[in-house]
Amino acid sequence: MKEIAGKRTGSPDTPFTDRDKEIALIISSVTDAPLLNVYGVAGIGKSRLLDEASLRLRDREPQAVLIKVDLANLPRDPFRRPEAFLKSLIDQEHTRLGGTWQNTEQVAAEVVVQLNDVVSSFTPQVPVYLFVDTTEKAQKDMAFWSWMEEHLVGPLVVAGKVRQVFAGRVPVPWRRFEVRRAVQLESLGPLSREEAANELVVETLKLKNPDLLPEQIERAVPLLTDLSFGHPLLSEELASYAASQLPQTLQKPETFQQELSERVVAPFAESYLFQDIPSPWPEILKWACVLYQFNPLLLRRYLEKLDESLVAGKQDYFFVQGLAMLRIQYATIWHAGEGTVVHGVLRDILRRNIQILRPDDFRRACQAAAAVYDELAGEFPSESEEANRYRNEAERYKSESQNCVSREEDN
Amino acid sequence: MIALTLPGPEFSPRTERMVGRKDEVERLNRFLHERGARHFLYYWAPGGLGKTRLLQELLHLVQRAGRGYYTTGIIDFYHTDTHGTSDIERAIVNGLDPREKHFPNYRRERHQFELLRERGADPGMLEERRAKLSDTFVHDCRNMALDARKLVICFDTIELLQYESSVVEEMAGLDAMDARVKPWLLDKLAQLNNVLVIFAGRPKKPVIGEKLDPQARLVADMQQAFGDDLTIVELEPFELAETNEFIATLTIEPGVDLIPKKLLPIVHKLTEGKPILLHLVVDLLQTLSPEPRRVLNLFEQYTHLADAAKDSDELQEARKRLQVELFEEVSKELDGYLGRIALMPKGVDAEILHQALGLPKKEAEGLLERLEPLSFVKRFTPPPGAERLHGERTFLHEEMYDLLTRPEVEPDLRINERTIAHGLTENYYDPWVAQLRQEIESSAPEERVALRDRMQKLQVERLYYLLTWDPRRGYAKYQALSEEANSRRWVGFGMRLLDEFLRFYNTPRKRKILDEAGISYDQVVRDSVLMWVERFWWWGHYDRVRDFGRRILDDPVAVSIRPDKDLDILGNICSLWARAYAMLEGYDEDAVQRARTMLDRLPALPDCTPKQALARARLLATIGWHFRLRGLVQEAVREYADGLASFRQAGGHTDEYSMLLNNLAYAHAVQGRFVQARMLAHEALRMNENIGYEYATGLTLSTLAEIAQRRGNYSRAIEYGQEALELFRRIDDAHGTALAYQELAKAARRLGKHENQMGRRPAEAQKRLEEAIRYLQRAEGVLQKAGMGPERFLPIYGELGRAHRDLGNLLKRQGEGEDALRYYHEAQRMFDRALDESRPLIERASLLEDLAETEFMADDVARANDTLAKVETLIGSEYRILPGEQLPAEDLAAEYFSPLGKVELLRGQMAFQDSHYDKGMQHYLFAYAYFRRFSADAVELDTLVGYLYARLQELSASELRHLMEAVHKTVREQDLGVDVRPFAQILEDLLGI
Repeated sequence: MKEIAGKRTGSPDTPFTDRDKEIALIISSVTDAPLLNVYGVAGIGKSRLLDEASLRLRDREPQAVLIKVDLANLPRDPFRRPEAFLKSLIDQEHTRLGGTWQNTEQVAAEVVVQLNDVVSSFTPQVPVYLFVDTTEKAQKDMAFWSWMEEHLVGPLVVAGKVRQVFAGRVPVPWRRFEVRRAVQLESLGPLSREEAANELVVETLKLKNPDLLPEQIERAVPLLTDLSFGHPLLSEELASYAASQLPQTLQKPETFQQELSERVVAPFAESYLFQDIPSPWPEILKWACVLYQFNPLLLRRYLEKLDESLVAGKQDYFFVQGLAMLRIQYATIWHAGEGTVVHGVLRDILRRNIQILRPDDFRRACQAAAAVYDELAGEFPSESEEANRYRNEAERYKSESQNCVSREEDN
Repeated sequence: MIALTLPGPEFSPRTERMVGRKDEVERLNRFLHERGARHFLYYWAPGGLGKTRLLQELLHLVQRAGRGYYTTGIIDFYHTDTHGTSDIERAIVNGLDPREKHFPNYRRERHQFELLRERGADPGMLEERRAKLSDTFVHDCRNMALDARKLVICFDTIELLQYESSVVEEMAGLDAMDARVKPWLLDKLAQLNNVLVIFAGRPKKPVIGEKLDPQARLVADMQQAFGDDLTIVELEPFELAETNEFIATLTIEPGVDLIPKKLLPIVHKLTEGKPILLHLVVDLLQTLSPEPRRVLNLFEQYTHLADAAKDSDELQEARKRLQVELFEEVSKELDGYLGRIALMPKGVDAEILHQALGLPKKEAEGLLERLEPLSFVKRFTPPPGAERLHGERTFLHEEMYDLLTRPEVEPDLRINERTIAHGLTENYYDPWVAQLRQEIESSAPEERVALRDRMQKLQVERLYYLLTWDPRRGYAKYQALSEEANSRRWVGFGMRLLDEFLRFYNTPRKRKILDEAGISYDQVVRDSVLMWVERFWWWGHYDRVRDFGRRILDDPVAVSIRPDKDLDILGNICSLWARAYAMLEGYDEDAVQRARTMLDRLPALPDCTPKQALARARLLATIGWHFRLRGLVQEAVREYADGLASFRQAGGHTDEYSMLLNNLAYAHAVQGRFVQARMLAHEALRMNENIGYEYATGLTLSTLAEIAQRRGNYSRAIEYGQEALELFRRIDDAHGTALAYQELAKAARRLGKHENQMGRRPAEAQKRLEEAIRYLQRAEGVLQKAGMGPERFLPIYGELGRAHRDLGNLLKRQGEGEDALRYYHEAQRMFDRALDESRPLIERASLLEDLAETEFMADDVARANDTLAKVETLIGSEYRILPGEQLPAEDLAAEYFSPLGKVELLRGQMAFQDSHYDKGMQHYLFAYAYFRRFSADAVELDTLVGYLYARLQELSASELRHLMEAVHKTVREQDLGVDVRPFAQILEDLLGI
């Protein structure tokens, strides 16, 4: 794994799989959509995707002009960001781009013209790509985005010659109509567990421990993907750890899974998914991941049954604001059709983790959720749509709680 | 945690320029400039078609038209400030005339009315004033219209005019109740000239369980009220060209095609050309959606439906999906707050958001600012002149409250509904109501009016949230508040509560909630029926109580009353019906019988529920009242006393309880039981003063004056009378003022008479008697000025007769025979006037006896004897004591013996005047017997002894001994049916024989 300015990405040595559709989308023609915005949770493989797209573009004829800027490298001082961004562009293509520095706006205007010229001054035309990664680092800096839209992204979109691809945990808050009209959003999900994730795990195991036998790998893979849910980075980390422990640990698979959960998944979540999230939200998120969906009130009632200290003295506002923060700033939760959810793959990872490491807590959480839904059903007319739905939800959690007990008994 | 300071999108502003509706704008312009003509325009259309926008356009037209054109602005029935007729009157008056030039009478009378109501005045008088107030409103409005080029009155959301269930409406005749908004509008507005009145609203939807189409009903009502001056227009959705124009108008960046031309037809089709949806589409494309192409794709996939038939299933489905998508996007954008705001249909401000959701004030203000530009958000400022409940509040377009809270838009949103309602009730409304209540209690009546208005509006708003949070508690509160509103004659408050409840109840989803809570449709109907009877009673609409009550009692099942189970409801209705009967027609045997039968059907008091106990209490009070009207005070006392026990068990109803105490005190006083009378009256006084009900306080002071006067404490009686007079004058109550004057007159007359009888201070006696006459003349003048009915004058004539007679007696005693005769003749004239067939028999008998006394004093003995004979005939021979032949039966009403006692008293006087002392003494003995039959404590017994003592002083000792022997003989030998030995004993003690 390599570190890029505090950011961890998947190893370039591991196979890149299951992203053909996204790659095709990125390198597709500018006329289809001049502006693509890829977004997804931490570690899902956005940067790796851009890297892979870059490689493929370089193999094509005519060779594309590709400029890549990682916003993680921009200065902290917001006033210096536009200049730094432009400098990064110019440094990468100093033969084609440049200008006399009077002010950033004037340079940006020149760069726009120059980039468009690159496209049209050759026959056949040279495709020009601008990749911008880690957009979440500047998510709240509206002045920066406003500047970008007005002086760079907007004019490029209007000219329609340069293909722009932005990647970050959440979509960039585009405001200008010409930009918004052009943007295409693409959510990046986990790898498919059956194929791609398996392949990633297998290749990582082989890479890290060449002595492993195929049948040992075959036995180890489901244990790992059962915990990673296709999350590329976690898959890699699990496989790396497992590689050093195999094959002895295969004797006791349950114990091994517990060890993986404790040694890899839990620290991964703590240091990576929950990093920077202010207290008590990491704790709330751990409980929330047991729920398939929630809203502030439902979450509050649920937490009341689990850990009174998390809700004591807190009003609706605390939860509404907190969830907005998790959604906008940390991208750990989403609005889905049925309400708010912990981002799919995160929920699965965390849910499984708690199931394995704290089965009593998991059962208690299911029982709390069932109780909340039962209460809710009682608050609506008995034959109403809501009451039926809440009764069904309650049953769902009751049955999960029951399954949990059965599993423990089986064990 | 980050604060909610993330930048919000900028929404497209509302259109300055009116798009489409050219014909309507032309029509409005034409009507506006037709001076002298009057037009009533009813615009109806489904929600979101731009009705309100059209009203706003009319306001611009008025503004542009310049001087002489006046408008109320838009009076929106959605808001709590416009639920009652007085609210609407006020909104119109202050809207048309903010500089207070044109409605002087209305404003003055309104102020006076509110003050009087606050002090607590007679319900009949209040109701009269309220009705007059509406007439004054019409009068002033017509005057203003004479000078104006046009008066423009606009009403929005007219579909919110509520109806009771049709069975209640019809049976109670509510269509004609001008206390309700709809009849008021139809009746009062139809009387205006040179006006342009606009009503805008969605078609009224049928209510569950109702067969009548409310929209057809509203239209028919309007047609009947406004005739040819009414124009009804159904607003059509935009045409395609108008849709295009509208979108272009909303586009911020000039020249940008927000929607590609090829998609415009399907956008038009899916939005049905509804401006509100088009506005949302534009907002989404222009600012809200992070990926506008997805919105356009949504339309793109339906392009094949551009020419689909209106009723195509696919088209309907596509429209539904589009709406859900649109609202989801909008809702997400505001972090879910929009959905929560949609759960607060009484509007929000920073304080409410703070209390309900815990938002810090600053954040709340920021959120409201972000909401403001949304096309479906409106800010509401209470109409001018209204007692402001709050400053500006933010509301959503009415349709949005429904759309945004649909489960398909935000599935779990409604689980917040009760929590928010609970939070608002307890954290926002309850403390505020409590604070206002405290302020009211410590304020003078003048200050209370405004405070109470605010408190009542808050209580109405709170009712919605209370019903949402806990339907049973909310329903109970609705009943309790309505009862309070009724008994305190807060007609507007009562109507606002009813309106709020019906709005809740007539919403299918909400009705289901009430149903689940065990409040069935039938229960609501029967409770509503009882509430209407109570309203009519407390508003002084006795004829309505009588007629409506009769219909219910004849066919209770028709209004969902179960004859065997709902005894509390039937009992209460029966009691008020019988009481109204008494008010309108006096004592009625049938009414008493019905009330008695109903009483017998109720459980014994210890087994009664509070409502059954209340029914018992009211029935007993009613029966007692009937007896009192007939002069049968002993029976009245019996019923009243039982009634007190029932009221105590029922709890509450302080005003009714105190009135009963007052009536019971009076009845005891008439029988000479002053200890009881005084205790009860003082208790009533304390209670009335505590609840601040000045009218009832005045009545009790009058009763106390009556008690003091009867027990001979005339100066105390005058003090009470003066206090009552002052109070009644303050509340400008004619009936009470006249009553207080009569009490003062009685006290003055009795004082003058007493002085005369004692033979002391004749000048003082004359002064008092003349004063009594003056008081009575003032009472007469007050009633005349108030235009009171003739029955109110009869007691004054009777008392005038007595005052003139007593003055005649004084003058005669002073040897001024001629002057005395003149007074006697005036007294006779007055007694003749007072002797009206409508008066209870006992009163007539008493008046005849007074007349006979006057005739005797005027030396017309023959006529006096004839008159006395008339008294005996009137009372009936079965009451006569005829020793050896007849003794009156034990079960005869005691009160009828009192006039016969007075007859014997006068006959005794006549005999003594002729020096027939033996005969006279026999009459006195009989008089004593009759008075004893009436009451052992009768004050007449003392009067008799006092009179006799004075006359017997003139006799020699032997004459006295002879007389006493005759008395003893009679006592020994004749059975008069009562023990008359005390009579002889008293005389012996006094005379020393």
